[in-house]
Amino acid sequence: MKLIVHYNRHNFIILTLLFILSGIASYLLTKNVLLRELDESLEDSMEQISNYVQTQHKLPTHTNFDNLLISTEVTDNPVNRPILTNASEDISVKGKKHLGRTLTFAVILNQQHYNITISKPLEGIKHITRAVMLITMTMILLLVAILALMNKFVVSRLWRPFYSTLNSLKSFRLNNTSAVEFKKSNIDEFSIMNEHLQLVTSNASKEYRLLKEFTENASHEFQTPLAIIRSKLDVLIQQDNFTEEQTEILAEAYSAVTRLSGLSQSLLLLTKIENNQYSEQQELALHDILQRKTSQFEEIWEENDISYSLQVYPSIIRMNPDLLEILLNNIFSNAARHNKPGGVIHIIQNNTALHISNTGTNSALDGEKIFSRFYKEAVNNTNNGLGLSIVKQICISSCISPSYEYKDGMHLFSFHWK
Amino acid sequence: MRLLIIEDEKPLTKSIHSYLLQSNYLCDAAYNFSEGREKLETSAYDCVVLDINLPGGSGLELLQLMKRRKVDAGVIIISARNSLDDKINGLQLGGDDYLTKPFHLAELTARINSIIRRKNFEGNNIVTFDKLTVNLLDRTVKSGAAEIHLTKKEFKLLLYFISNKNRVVTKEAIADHLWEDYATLGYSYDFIYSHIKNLRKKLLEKGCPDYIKALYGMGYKFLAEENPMA
Repeated sequence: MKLIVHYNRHNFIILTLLFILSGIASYLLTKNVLLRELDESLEDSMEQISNYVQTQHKLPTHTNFDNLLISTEVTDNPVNRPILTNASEDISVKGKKHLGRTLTFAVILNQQHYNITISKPLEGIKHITRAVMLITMTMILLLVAILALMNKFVVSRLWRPFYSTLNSLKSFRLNNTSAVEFKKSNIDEFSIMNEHLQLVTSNASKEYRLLKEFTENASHEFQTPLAIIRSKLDVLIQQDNFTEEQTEILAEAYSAVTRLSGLSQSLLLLTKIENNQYSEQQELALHDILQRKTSQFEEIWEENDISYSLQVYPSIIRMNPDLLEILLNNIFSNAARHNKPGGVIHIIQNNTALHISNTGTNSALDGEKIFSRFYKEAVNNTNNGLGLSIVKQICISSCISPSYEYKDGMHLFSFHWK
Repeated sequence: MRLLIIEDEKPLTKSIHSYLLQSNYLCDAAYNFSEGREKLETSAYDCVVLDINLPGGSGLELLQLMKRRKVDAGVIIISARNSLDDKINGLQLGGDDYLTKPFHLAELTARINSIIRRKNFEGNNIVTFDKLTVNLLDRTVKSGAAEIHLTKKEFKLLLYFISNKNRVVTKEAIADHLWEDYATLGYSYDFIYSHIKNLRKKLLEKGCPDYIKALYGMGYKFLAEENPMA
């Protein structure tokens, strides 16, 4: 959810509550004021009636004038002082029922005590309620409208530099050689943020580039000493008078050199892919390449007693031909290396995806870790643990999404072209 | 045959030198750019093994110099950089082959042999070894008069063995030669056994002695004198 929506939501809830509260408060206040007015007018009427009784020496008639309801009652228990109460029942005026107030007081006429009750309706309270509600609702609607307008014209303009920075950040890649450009802003907070981001991103890119250069140089520097070791061993093994034990030592040293050279070549390859040194793309007939690759691997698979099936569908993809070659080499050789004698490999390719499944260990591999560097499921001397991270890196640079799952006893690797 | 090795790493040069000496190649060595230029200017060589990164200049410059002077020698570039650009550059400038460090000396020997063959025996593409006659052009192998039918891989393997005759060739070197980059994918080398087994069988069938001697745990040796199995 956007910041502005969050902000508006809070704003709206608080302001709505505020308006409702102020509506209720103004309703109650107005009602109170009206009631006090009514009470005062009832007290006026009481005085008028008392005066009337004293001067005219008779009780007021029951007529209903000035919306005043008068009832008299002979009593032996006169009220001590005037009592104001809410009317016991609604008073109807012109066919409409109204709430009202009642005042009861005592008069003495001809030594007889009378309780006189006068009532007056509280007119207009409904109008007031309606008016308050109307005002509150209008204010709330107006608020929504104003917030929307503000959002559209004012706030979004204020935040525009922020979103532009955000977009720049989105396009930021560590391995991009060009620095990210942030637009200048005259808002202090944003301009400070941009300055810092500029610094951080350019530093990160620089560090990353240095690291890559280091990896590449290191891999290259390895090659010469390795070449020397291997050549020395090549010369050494030409002598015939080795004991069996010495031969074994030499063979192990030789195979370790081979492993080391494979490892540094794999690291170098990873670095090169990350550095976009294989960026040139071509239209490739995936089905043809798959058929060619399969026939290349056929003999190795047959040698390892592994049968295979191949299902292709004519489709053209765009990627670097060398990378495709490396990708297929890796997953094809994996499918055999982690297989078992008498196992199978299924290669299924359709318009958008390539699925390679193989038999192997009878448990799923860790799908999270499988593509990470130096991950090894089991101790396997011939495997340097970089094959699938090379595959992953190729996928990243070629817009392919790789996935792994273990289904029906088969290890399935899928590659989807976007 | 005269060879010049231009490589600044003396231990590596020494290994190459002593390995190639067994193939009856006379080797000269140059350890930097100016030494290399001097030797190229004063002597004639059949083949030059050329490193790219040299003290005092680039091997590629020496290559350009050789082409300008019309030096008639085959050139194998050896480099620590396994980059396609370097390879293409080197070959475009007139290099005959490109080998990335670390390489097997057996591989280097095979490549040198192949360059010298191309240079010296134009039109005559026959290699012989004991009873065997290998025709490189139409890729046929004869034992005496009987033709031996070999697969592509077996043919490649035989030629590799002949290039490195009388020498121990490791299984890693053979795998690298037969499959190039597959071997670096971490395969076990078991799959080369069947090719060797088949080649040996085919050679024996046509009356050849058993040339291929297995050295347990190490590799193979291709030689004619001994004949342990009849």
